[in-house]
Amino acid sequence: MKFDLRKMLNLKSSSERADARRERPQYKSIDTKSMTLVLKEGGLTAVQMETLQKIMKVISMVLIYAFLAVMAVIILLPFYWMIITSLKTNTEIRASQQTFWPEVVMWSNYVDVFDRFDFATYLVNTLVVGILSTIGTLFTTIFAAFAFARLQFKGKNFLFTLLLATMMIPGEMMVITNYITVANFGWLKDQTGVFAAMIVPFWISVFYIYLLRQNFLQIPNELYLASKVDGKTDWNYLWKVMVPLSMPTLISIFILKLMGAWNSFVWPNLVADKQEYRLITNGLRSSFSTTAGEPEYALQMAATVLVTVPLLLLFIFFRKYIMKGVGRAGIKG
Amino acid sequence: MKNQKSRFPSLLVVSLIGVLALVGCNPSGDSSSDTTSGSSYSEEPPINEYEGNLLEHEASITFWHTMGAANRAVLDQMITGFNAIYPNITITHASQGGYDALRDKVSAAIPAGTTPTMAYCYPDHVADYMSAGAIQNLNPYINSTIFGLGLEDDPTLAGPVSDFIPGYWQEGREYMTPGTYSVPFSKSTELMFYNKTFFDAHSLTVPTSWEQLIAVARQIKTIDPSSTPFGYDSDANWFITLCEQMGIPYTSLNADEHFLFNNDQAKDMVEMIKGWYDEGLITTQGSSPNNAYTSTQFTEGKLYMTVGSTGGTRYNFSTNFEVGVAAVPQYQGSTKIISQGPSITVFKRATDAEKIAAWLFYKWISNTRNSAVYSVLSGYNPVRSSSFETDVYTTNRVVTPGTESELIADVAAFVPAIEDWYFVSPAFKGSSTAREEVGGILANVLLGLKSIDDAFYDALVACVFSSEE
Repeated sequence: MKFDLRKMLNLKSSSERADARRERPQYKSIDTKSMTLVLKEGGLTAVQMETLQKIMKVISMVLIYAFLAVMAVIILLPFYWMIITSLKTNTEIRASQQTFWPEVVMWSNYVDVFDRFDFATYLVNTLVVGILSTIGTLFTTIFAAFAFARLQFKGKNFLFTLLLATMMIPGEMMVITNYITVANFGWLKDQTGVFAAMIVPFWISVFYIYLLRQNFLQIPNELYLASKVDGKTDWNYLWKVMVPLSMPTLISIFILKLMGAWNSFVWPNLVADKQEYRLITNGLRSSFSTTAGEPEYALQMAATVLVTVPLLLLFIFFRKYIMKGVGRAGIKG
Repeated sequence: MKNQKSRFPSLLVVSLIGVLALVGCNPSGDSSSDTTSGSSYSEEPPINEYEGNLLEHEASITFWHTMGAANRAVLDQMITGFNAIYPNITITHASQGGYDALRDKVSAAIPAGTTPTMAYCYPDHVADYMSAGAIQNLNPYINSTIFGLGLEDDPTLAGPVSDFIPGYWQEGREYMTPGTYSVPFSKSTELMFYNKTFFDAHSLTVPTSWEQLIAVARQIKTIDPSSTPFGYDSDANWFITLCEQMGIPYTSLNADEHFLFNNDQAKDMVEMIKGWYDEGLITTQGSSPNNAYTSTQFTEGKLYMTVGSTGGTRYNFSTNFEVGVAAVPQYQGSTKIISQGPSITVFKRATDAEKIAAWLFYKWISNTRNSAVYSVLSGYNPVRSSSFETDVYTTNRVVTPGTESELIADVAAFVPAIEDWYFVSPAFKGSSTAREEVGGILANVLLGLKSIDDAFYDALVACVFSSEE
């Protein structure tokens, strides 16, 4: 039996290879411009994927904006209700079916409110209490934050923990104790005393001390050491370096504290036992009632609108500082 | 290692502050010294010192109330009149907001020792203040032979106790300790307002009993099937009033069993009301959509009869139909309607001279004329029978036909006829919770949110907890 190894290995002979070379097709130049490259992933072409991405983007934007719109409505509804209530008649306010727009628009409520509400007194009282308590808070906050951030003394961390621990106690728990304290100081007898009672207990804010301390900790040690080389005292370093560098945080503390004083209700309501000592929030609650003692919501809401507007403007114009200051304080440290 | 070390002082600090906070919750030494036994309430005022020389002792008193601007102006006029007689007494008064705000402020002022001399009050508030030993028993003042009631030659200046509406006066005596701890100033009750135009057009009889009311309601239902014929504005008042009319135990002054309302009779009563509700004959504020006042639904023409406070008479006025006034329907010939509205209490911490000055001032503002003046102003009822006869209350009243002043005048004219009908519930720590809870029973059962047994049980539990706090 003869074995043809060439056949078994399926090898071509030299003549066959020559024939194959002769039969090789001659390639022509191809016009690549008419060619289309189709890439597919997951069964979709690039164009389809692009369309899909666009659709998904639109859907997600719709969902995000729908969510934001719903949230905005939830947040704005009380304000809207305040405004429309301020323009309604008392009969409409008491109606069993509430309306989303006044049947009769009572612009006169905004005129009547000035006869019934002593804006000037309440505004002056609120500003005096707000500004004095804010300035006092800024001083105590700056000194305390400096001590906790920069100075080295025994028991520093213990004291700071002690201060932070007080944040765990709700402010309401302190109301009666504080009231007894200011009463024993004899502060509830005259206007100066009542104002002191509304200002002094709020000069210390642990939260703001914490906020500013974190801010101070971010200031590099090198600046402190450099100022020491220059012969500056801690006092000079605090006011010439730390305070200017922390100005955004201090501004936001100033604004937040002022807003807090503007909005405060429970404590001023407790200590101010005469109409002329009241702050604006307490005035709003106690100035509008019928001779039978029923609240007059329309006038109350009209006055509330007038009182809310300044605060809203304050936030709109200074929101940059508020957000910047809070952002800068960071959580690091 | 460092972390472990730093945790220990932190925990220590938190524990320390916790302990300090709890210590802070305890009443101060001042308040504990005030918590005296019941016997000290009968302290005699130093009458002898004041005999014949009430005008010589200087006194400054403070009066806390909830009056709005118009009411305060009238009070100022009364003070001017008072100072013409007693120039030695200086009166400072201030509104402290609503009744709840006033109670909160007085509650804070008691431990701090800064209570006013006198204040507006509701019996529930007084019961709370009394538990801190802060309220003066007024019996020695009322019965004093120097400055008591009924001593003046002119009875309109401070007539005897018998001139006060009995139910109103009794309210000040319904406390755990014998004595008079609050005195009436501006009171109200409940009346039934009905659509007179509709009643006249259909020749309907104004009901005087619950039986008649349901019969009339069924008639109305046939005339106007879409209506709910009757509404009661206060769920709690309906429950309490019916208990009183039907002789069903509600609450008692007995400290061992304050809350008596969880009984079979009361449950049957609620079941009866639920039957009327399911039949579409009645509604209450608590069972109405949006908690709408039944007075509002009445003026909107959805109801034909409603029971509401005389203090809120104006809310029952409508320009669409004539409104009639009638007594709250009764049960089998009973004559009981609830008494509401603020009274005045005097605080024990005040000096003797201040307490006497406060008492003299109360006598002045509650005299025949001033009680009538305040009644006409506020729409509340005078506290003295003689006030109903004054020209201020009757002929000099400014009434404009076709306005709410006309309805208020109708109520004013009607009220004297029922002056003996008033009742008050006992006041004790937890009595205000009982009131809220029985109102809740009615609303929950009518709306089908709870079974009758569950509603009563839940209410009782809430009451017991509130009295033990």
